[in-house]
Amino acid sequence: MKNLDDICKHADMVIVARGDLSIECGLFNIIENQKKILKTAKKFNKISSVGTGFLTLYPPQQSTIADIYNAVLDGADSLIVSGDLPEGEKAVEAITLLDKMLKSFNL
Amino acid sequence: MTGIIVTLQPSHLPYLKDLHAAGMTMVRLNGSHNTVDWHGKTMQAIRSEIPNTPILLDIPGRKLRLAIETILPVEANQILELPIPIWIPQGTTILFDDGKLTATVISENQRTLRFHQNGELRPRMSMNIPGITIQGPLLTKRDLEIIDLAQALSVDYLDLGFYRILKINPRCTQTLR
Repeated sequence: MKNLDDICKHADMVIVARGDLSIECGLFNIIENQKKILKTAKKFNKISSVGTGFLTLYPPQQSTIADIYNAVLDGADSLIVSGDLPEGEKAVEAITLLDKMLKSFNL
Repeated sequence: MTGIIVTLQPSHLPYLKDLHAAGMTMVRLNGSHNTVDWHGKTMQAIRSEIPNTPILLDIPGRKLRLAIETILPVEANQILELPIPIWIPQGTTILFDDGKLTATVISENQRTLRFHQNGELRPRMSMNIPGITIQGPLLTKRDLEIIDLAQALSVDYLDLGFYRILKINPRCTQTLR
């Protein structure tokens, strides 16, 4: 976080790795840091992504939708799903649902 | 429109086209898991089945991983000796899997831990020790093998977490395509 400007300047894409970032910078600061990173990425005109944990609660609950809406509102170009994505064929269903949710936002 | 980056697991491989049709806009491969050979074959499968989908390859770099071979259940207050690759002061808390499981270093040899909760340790589980800087080369031999493979297969993005310095190996700073 201390070198955010320099990192954004040199990178092609900036990823908010929320799992590691929560540990390094404190769990309660995670959304504030996410907003700072996305804003800085935009300042340097770099594409940005936020991961992960969007599908930890599956099917999604209100808190999940609020989290995803917030990331999109802050300008994330994409969302990353990882260990939170179900295995095998169920992943297709989860991505279909996530895509439907993203398309439903009027932003 | 916001994209969806899917971190591919082996069980997703038969569904590449379905995932793409469902809304996946980029594939992410996590270099911390699976073999270098698996990554090579998977990149080739992506290029062949969904050729216009960009690939993001995550290079583990200095992230600590647990070197055990099988799943190991643990209970709260259980004391266990584990292969920790670096020196850690007594009393330090280690966070496994982004803090889902935690333990304190209790012995003088720094490898004996007391666990705080019930849970399970898995092979190559992530370990994080806040405040500890990991020394040694930024990229491991395995990282470099994966980077060479990515370059040969024209992977679109390399993602390196846990860098401590800004001037890193130029092989990582350039966009490969």
